Amino acid sequence: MVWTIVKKQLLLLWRNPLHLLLLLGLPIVLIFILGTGLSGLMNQETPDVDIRVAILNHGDEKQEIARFLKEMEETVREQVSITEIEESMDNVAPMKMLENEVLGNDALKEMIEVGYIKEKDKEAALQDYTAVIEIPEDFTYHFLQNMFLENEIDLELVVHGNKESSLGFSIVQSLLQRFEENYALGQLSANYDLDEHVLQSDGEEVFGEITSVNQEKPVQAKHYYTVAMAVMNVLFIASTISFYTFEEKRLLVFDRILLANVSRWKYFFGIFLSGIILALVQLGIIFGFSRIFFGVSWPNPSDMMIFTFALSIAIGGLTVFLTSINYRLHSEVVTTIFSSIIIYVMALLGGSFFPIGQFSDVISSLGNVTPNGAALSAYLNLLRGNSLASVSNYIYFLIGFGLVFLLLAMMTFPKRRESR
Amino acid sequence: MIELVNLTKKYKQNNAVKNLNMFIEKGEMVGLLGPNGAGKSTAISMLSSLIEPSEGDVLFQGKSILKRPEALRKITGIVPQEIALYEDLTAQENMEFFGRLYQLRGKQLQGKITEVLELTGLIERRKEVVKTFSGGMKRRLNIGVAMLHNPEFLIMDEPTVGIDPQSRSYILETVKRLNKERNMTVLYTSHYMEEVEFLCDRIYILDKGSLIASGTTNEIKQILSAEKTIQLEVEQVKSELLTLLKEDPSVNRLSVHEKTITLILPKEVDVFAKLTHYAEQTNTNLKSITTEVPTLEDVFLHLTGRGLRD
Repeated sequence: MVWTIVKKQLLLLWRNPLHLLLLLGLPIVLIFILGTGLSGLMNQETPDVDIRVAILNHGDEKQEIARFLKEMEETVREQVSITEIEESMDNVAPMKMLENEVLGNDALKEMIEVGYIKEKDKEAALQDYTAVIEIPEDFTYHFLQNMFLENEIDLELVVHGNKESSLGFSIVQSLLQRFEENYALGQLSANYDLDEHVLQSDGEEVFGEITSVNQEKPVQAKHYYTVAMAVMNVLFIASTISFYTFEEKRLLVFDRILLANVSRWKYFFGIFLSGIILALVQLGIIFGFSRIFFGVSWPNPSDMMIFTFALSIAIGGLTVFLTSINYRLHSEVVTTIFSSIIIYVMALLGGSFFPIGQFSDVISSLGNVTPNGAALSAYLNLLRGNSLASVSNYIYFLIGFGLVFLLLAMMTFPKRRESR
Repeated sequence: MIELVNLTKKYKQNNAVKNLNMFIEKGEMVGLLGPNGAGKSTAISMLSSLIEPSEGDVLFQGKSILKRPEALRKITGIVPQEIALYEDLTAQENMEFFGRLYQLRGKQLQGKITEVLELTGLIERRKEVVKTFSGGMKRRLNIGVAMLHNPEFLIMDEPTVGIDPQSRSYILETVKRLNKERNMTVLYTSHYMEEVEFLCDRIYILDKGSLIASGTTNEIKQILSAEKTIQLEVEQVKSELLTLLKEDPSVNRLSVHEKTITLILPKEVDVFAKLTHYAEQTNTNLKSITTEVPTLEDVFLHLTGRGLRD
């Protein structure tokens, strides 16, 4: 009986070329457009962004280093230690680190131009430059004190951004944040006499969720957008089926089904199963098509299939939940909102349009609690050659998501003789 | 076979059906008449176990169906007022889907589909999608789907609404044949009196959720035994004429349908001279005056003061 309902659902979709086109044609076209159009950005090429950074230094790093070393000589008796500190100064002096390693590293020097300004030029520089970094007096001196003498003086760099160059400004902010983290790391290693590289390695392990750390194989734009579009468009399976099921209610076909002594729960599970099967079919077609025409291949196809099944369970849960809500409210308005607004918000948060999670940890976390965002992260992991075990959290999340929505749907679905 | 006992359905403050009492014997054709909004579809939904009554009970072979509707559902075929079909599927695919729901499989299913499609005159169009069918063909398929599991009891809710006379006649003849040849029990709702007169042995008349008359066709018409129906066909219905007719003490009921005015009057009253006078007085061009044998429509007019199609 459940299979009869599933088969009818497949047949209805097959007979509707417009829905078929939206569910299959659209993602394929989008994969082609985005995969080709954004390949430059995604494939590690330098993006066409010019950043001009002005540094306004209220101090003098050379003098501050000399002052610090002089004080050290007066307080520290071991000449060997003083000499070591002096020799390491090229690596730890913060301004040198900022100029050479942060803003001027090999990867960024073509993109970032660094200039030096005086106080009187500050206002004009805010118009001409992407960002102005203001370094307070004695910054280097206090920095060295914190690092070598375990002082805890608050240090602050002031950054002014040009409103017309928000992308460039956010890049500068990210770089400074990285600089701050490195500084904290350096301080920690100096205080506890640890190897900085060991610390860094451990730190990255802790944030094992940042998948790029363990990256074994780079992900190209066409790979990214194959899964990004697939996980977004699979959500439309839920809305499409719930539109069909609401039509069944509206046209009293559902009444006919009940009058044939078919339990409403058989119908209900038929819808759940239809969601799962159609999601599997859709994802299978998209991945198959991408394999043939875009060369997107999976290092381990069986892992991908197992994960796809978990995603399909989530879609099944969503499908039957939307159906239940429509039946309960006697309206398809929730499905309409889902398909016209919610899916796109989920797609944005989940990173289907661009890897938005890179800009903010909050967005990244939010994205990972959407089924599409979780699926995207997991698929990218699998594409990089990671094992199924590395995405097991996502598998549990998606199956759990599907089951929770199934449960909610069961609670919402009108009970006997409540459906009219 | 089936009995409705004090059946009531309330929606908030509104009574869609009030204390409805009905019975249907095996092999009978029973008509449920009433204008739009009379409560016919609500009554049918309760009878067929789709909605729960607020009060009262539905008995099938003496047992309540409220808790266990399966036995009644098994022998009942329902033809809803709406076209409850998948328009994107073919006639054959619709039949296969609904047939499977009734546990029909393989050759039995295919045999039954062929039989029903022949009965409804759609065998030649079985492979065409329903959305390409005319309104009449859809109605016939709607009936066919209800016939797939050989129901003993067929409920038809306004099955001829919005179709051409040829399809209508085909449907009425088919229903009559099913009743005669298979001894099928039929509950037929309509607001077309002539259909009910043609088909049904007994009639229930429902208005504003309440039963206002019941009996055989002749018994119901006897309600008007002391009255007669006169129809005036005029070139233009003038309000002055209607006022005069309404004020006339011998006119019991009056209704207007397009250019025809129907009057119900006591049998002994001779009104021809008076009607001609009224027409002259209001400058109305009278095209004809006819005395009619009372119809169910007239009975309804007599009972409610409104036409069935109002």
